[in-house]
Amino acid sequence: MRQLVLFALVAACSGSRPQLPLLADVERARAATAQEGELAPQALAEADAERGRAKEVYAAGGDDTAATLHAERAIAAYQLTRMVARSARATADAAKADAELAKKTEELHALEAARKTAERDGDELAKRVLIAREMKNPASSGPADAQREVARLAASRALAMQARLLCGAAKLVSGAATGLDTAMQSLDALDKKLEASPKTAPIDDAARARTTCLSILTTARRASTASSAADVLLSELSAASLSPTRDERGIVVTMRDVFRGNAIDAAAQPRLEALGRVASSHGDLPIQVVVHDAVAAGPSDERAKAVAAALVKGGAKADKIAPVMAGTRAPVVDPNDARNRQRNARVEVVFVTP
Amino acid sequence: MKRGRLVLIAVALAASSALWAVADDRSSAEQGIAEIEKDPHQKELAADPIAKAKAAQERAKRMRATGDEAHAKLADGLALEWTRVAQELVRADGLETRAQTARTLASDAGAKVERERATLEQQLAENGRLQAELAKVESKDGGAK
Repeated sequence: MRQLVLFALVAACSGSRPQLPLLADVERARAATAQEGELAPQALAEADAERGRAKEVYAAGGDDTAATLHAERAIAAYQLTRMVARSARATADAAKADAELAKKTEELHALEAARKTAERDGDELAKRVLIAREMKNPASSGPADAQREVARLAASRALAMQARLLCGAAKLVSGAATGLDTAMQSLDALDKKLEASPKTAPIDDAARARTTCLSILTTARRASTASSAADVLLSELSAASLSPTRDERGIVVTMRDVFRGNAIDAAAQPRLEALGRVASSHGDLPIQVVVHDAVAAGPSDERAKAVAAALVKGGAKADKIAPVMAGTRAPVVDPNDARNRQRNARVEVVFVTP
Repeated sequence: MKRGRLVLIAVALAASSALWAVADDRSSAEQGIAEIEKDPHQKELAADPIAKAKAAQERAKRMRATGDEAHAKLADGLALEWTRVAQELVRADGLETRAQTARTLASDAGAKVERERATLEQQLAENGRLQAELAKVESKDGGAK
């Protein structure tokens, strides 16, 4: 109000027209926006044009209402310039943050991969330390009474079988694994000894054979260049409700009630084919098929071959499957326990991970 | 006679074009305001420029009522300008929120990177320890009890 009175007084006392008060506001808005104009040059140019029109109309005289409306529009246009600049700054900030996020994500993936490799190396080193200790200081069992020796003999047979399966897995990872031939010869000799059911069980020899085969498998894995997608395989097998587990050889699927006589039971066939389908998407992984019996059923590997054939029907590669008849040598429950010994009859399908 | 008709047509065209422009400014402002007011958050955010736009619309209405079409047109333009300010304010706010989200995600990813790096360093140290232990066990008398 005071401004308007002053404006009227100045207008009355002087011959020339005083500046429209609103034009001073336009100038202030212009000054406050000058810096923002760098980010919004077009909006600033439009605001400047409106400011020019306000001045021009006022200078021409006679239409102060139009001059005021142009001045007000110029003020709004400077405000718009500031908003456009704000949007431009926010867009640049978001782009910078997106780039930072992309960089960090990439870094994170690289670190995760390095950590997984380091963990694998760690696991392997821990196994090697255990093996090295075992090889250096083999436990000596010493003499025992006759009953204990019988139990030791059964344990020796189980250890020898485990050794054979580990060496078999090593052969699947690398046929030329160092020490494999010697270890297999020692195993053959050990099996002969075990067949004779000696009074003193060769338990230490069997334990050493197992350690040796585990060591060979570990070394073969170190030398292997094949990549392992074990975690993916584990997830796929779990998703197919095949209840996989891990052991020193790799990923194991254990199945029961697989046979009717020497042929595959009709109910087991779809499960084996499903397993073969999963195997087909991991075609490079060798597979060990191990048939365990509850009671001695002879050395024929007909049933192991039947399992292999069912896997191949599902999509597994025939040349990657190694059938093994373990017989009764690696039981999971006491074979003398008539009530439970049927649990020993099982088929292990082992995806040997490199 | 022919020239006179052409002039008349030109004047009619210019008038309709001017009317169209005014109607366009007016309807654009109305549409813009309605769009913003649909969203309570945007309505609250842009309350000030929307109030200014509405005040300018009111002035245009009064001017038009007194037959002052020329000034009403300018007031419509002013209303549209404040509507644009409101729209740009809403846009800037959305972009700032998005930038803030992106900054938070980048910061979280940075923290994950540091945690992963620490885990990796721990594992590498553990591997070093195991390597040393293995070398000791594998040495001639290192592992002897």
